[in-house]
Amino acid sequence: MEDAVDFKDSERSAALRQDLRGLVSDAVPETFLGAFTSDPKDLELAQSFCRLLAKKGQLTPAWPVEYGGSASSQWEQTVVREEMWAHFEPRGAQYMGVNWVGPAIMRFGTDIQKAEHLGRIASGDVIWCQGFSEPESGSDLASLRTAAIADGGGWRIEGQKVWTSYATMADWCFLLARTTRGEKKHHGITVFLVPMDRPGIRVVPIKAMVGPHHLNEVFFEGVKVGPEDVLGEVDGGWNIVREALAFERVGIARYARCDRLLNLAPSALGDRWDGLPIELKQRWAAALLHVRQARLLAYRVIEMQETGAVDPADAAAYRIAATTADQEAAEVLMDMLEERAVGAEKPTDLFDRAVDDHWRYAQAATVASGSIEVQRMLLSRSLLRTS
Amino acid sequence: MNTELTEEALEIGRVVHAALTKAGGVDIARAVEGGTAGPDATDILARIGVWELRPRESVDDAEAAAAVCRAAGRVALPVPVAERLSSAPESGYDALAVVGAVPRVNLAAASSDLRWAVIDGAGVRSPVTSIGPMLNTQLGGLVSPVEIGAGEDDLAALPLALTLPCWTLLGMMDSAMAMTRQHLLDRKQFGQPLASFQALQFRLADTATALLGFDELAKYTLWSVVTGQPGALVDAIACRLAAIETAEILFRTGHQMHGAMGFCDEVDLSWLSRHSQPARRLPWGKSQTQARLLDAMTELPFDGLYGQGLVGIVPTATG
Ligand SMILES: Cc1cc2nc3c(=O)[nH]c(=O)nc-3n(C[C@H](O)[C@H](O)[C@H](O)COP(=O)(O)OP(=O)(O)OC[C@H]3O[C@@H](n4cnc5c(N)ncnc54)[C@H](O)[C@@H]3O)c2cc1C
Repeated sequence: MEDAVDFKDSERSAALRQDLRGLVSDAVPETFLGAFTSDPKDLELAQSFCRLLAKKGQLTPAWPVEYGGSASSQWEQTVVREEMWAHFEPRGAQYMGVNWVGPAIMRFGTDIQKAEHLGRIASGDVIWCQGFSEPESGSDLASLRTAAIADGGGWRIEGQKVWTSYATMADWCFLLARTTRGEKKHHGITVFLVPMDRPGIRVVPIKAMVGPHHLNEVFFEGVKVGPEDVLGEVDGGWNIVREALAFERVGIARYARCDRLLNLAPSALGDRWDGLPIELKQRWAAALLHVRQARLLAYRVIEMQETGAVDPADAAAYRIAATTADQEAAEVLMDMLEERAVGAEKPTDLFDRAVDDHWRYAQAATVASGSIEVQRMLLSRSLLRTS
Repeated sequence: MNTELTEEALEIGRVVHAALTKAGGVDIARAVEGGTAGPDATDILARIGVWELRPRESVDDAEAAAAVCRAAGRVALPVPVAERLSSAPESGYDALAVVGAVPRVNLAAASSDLRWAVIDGAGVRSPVTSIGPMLNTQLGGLVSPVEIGAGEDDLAALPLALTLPCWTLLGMMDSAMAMTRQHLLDRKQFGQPLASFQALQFRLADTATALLGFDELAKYTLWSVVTGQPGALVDAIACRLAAIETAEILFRTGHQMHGAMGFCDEVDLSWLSRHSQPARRLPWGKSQTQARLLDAMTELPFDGLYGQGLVGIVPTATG
């Protein structure tokens, strides 16, 4: 007989979850609201927390053992993702390296590239940034113009990236540049793995409401790269991008932070909870329900990941649900703070500060890593396909 | 973690769907509402073994029952499938419907040979002592007022009785989605299929997302209810709220995208839209269900990753 539906964590997942909660409560202070603040101590904390996780094999549990993982299931990787995001991502900027840069190098890298990068990602020693978006190329990523101009046996990179998260602190950049100007814009793009300290790279932070370090400009002025820096085939970068993004289907477990903050609200608000309008409490209950639905849609995609292929349309549906639930939860929580929504009274009002942070970051949920409109295009194209 | 129904459950769903489609699909509802003798759908389901399922006793049967309700919903079958599968014949009733303050039961008169019982939101189950005439209205044509006898406490029966009708609604929504998609591909305006307009594509994507999210929730709720999780009842109420919200999205999108055609009796969408109404309005509509969800949360855990809703909160002095 086949197994019946079962929505409980497996024993291994449950044990991992307990373990991670213990680790977070021991190593991460309650005041921590992410690595990307103006206080450099927050980043230091994240870096040492990552190394701690890595030592326990919990930074990249789903990676193969030979690359520094423990060959666990995607479910365990999901538990890590949920626990980390719910606690304001004490892995700092690691999730890019862990979730898609590493897997892309496993799939397309040379032996030398694998040896150079995978161990360092798995041990939490290195921060990657994603050099995709440009001033003129956002949703239409394939129109990118940063040029790799043939120069000797290699290339010279000229151009500009923008919105590059963590660029000020990154050691490496997963860079897209155009090696050939072909008839079709998807052709002629190449992926370069470039160290951020290479001469000619200049990073300019952008002040933004999502907080420091999230958005930067990166200028490439005559940056020299060689064939050894190319990931996969020259001119074949678009395929890598498509596959790399497929590793990142579930992305951030936004629903986990919503779940935690909504569940904290009644006790955090104390006496004020009782005075809230009943209509607002009902919206709170509905938000919890929608967050549950978003989580279940994530699990649907993870189950597909475990058993084979994930249709980008299914991942898109999950992203639509998760990002809108994120914003719904943010609005409900802000409403619950009443006048404190525009500023906590004291720095020790941790819940108020957490909601403030959550609301600001949630605004970007439907824009970052492929806007909700792009997700709708993906999903509707699949729904309306006739063959 | 396993988020899929068993293959056996899916298979019985497919068998029921095929049999009902062969018997006329939505035409079965047309015949019943029109008072003409149609195919005997109850008998068709009997031959497949549907009435032998015991969802309250076995998880496998519960999954099969859910799949059957969904298949019945796809053609708006005028047979009380969810109600029969929520029953406990050994306790003296063959069909169980959840009712509000004024008891009205969909499909009771159409299956008046059954021993009907109703249960209220507090879990009091009462026998139906008489079934009134069908309302014969557009939105509740097959609904009847009922009179009930003395009740007894049977709270344990409530979660499943709330959950299975959500599966029937899910089937109705599956059909609404499929019809809407097909209409977008077939209908041309401004020289191109409606499917080529981004405004409609995006709305379809959001509608499909709502449906998928409800589909997953329906499975989660079934699991919670049949495995007797502590939050089973609050989960079932939440599922009902999601069913109402999602049906509103699905049928609103369906009607809008069909244009005038969607209101015609000739078109199945119109039948599904009307026949989905009893399940959406009875026993409680959206606001009542919302209010009940919040109430239920004060006593029962609404399990999330980081808490249980209002359970376990230290009570505070009322201000
Ligand atoms: C917090 C944050 C972090 C980010 N980090 C990175 C990073 O590390 N690396 C990186 O490369 N990029 C990063 N980005 C950039 C991100 O990938 C882009 O913002 C995103 O792809 C959208 O591009 P855009 O901002 O240029 O908006 P645009 O593409 O200009 O779009 C503006 C609006 O128009 C809509 N739109 C565009 N085209 C269409 C169409 N054909 N039909 C309908 N609607 C359309 C969009 O959906 C959007 O709503 C980040 C963004 C944010 C907000």
